[in-house]
Amino acid sequence: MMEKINVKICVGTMCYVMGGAELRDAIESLPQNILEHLNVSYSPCLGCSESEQAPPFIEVNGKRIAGVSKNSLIQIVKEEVRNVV
Amino acid sequence: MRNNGNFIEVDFFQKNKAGNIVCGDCFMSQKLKGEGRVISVLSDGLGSGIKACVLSTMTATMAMNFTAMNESILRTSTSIMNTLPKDMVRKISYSTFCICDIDCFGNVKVIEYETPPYYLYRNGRFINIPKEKIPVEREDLDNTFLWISEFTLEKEDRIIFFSDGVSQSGMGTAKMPFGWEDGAKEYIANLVNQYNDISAKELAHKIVNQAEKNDGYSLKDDTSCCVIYMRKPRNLLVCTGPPYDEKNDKYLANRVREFQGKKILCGGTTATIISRELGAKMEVDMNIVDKELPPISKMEGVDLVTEGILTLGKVERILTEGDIDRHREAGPAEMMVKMLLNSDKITLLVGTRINTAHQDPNLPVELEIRRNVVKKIKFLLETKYLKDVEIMYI
Repeated sequence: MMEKINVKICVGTMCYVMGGAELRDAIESLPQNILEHLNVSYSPCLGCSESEQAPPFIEVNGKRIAGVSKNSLIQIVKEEVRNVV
Repeated sequence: MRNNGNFIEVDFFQKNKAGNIVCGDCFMSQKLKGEGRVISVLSDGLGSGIKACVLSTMTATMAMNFTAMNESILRTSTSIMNTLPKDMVRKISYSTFCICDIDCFGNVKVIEYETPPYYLYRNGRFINIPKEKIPVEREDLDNTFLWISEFTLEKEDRIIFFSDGVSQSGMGTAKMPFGWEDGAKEYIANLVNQYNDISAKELAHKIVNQAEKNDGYSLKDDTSCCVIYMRKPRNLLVCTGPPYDEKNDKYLANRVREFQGKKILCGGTTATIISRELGAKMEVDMNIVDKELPPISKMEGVDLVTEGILTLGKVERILTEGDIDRHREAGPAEMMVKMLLNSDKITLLVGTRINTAHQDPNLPVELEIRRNVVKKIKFLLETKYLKDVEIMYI
């Protein structure tokens, strides 16, 4: 059994307002063959509001990524899955 | 309002006569903070519809203000009767009223004019309080009296008063040809025995709904019921915002852990601090959805964990609108409103660290300053919902 990719999406105020609200839809729109490699979770706050980078934030396997949009999230996830498979 | 550590919950519910868009009964309640008094007034205007609504609103407002000014009851009632406009058809000016004035020691004075008698429910039975009868001199009507009774409220007492829509509901039906008077007592006793801690709000709702049922779901008169319940306060802690000084994180977490009552955490950062300090696991719950708001989380030992400022903003909107029953969908803000309204003593523990990220002028205007929103919520809860609210800044 292959290890799953941990994707953590921040749903804190800033991230949510700045587009995080759409990320859930983006993830759920992915095809099953990609979804099965993912372990999606949500966080009330990843604690990045003091950072210089722009929200929304996500964490992929513990690595923080800033300024994620619907499209870039799909790209990032597909990339990660390709690396694993 | 608290008396010897007890809390007096006042709530009421009303439904209009079938087909009417306004209610001819008027209920008002006011808390005089400085004196520690709670005054509640219910008035039923002659007839129904707009005319009755005007009559009862005038009566209730005058009765409330005269009572708050400690004016004598005879002067109050005379003033009311002289002020009310005369009915074109019946040539009288008329509306009933019931004033319930509770002071800071729990001494109650009830003044009734032409209303169905109030009930006092204590220790599983109804108590009859002797009433003083004072004749009212008026030109247009004979034999009307004020009934004045005084007693001291004890813990777990309930005072129930209502308009004749309740006591006369079902009148003329085979089951209750003379209305619901004794049946109502039995109904209330059964309910309270079954649910010992039934809130004033819930009891008032149930009584009015039962009256509607008695009338075959088509009320024959405006129907209102007010319940006053003295009991141990239900405490609620709402904790929002991180402390100004990080050194106080531990103090905040301890306050949350040791609080006796229900607890709400409001804000991602706040929740993360508490979770870290108490070692309590936190998980986002995506099952409860509100399109406008980020989701809630679950944490052991805490009753509700929500996002911060957006949720507080919506809570404030719902409290302002005041139409809680319309918000049937159970989103995070509605859950919080329900918890606020089901509590008596609410402590708002507000962290004062400013979230610099929220100060970007490009952001939506909903991102208000936390302290302002919290102050608005406190004002609404105190004035509109008669809650005992305290804000603490940390």
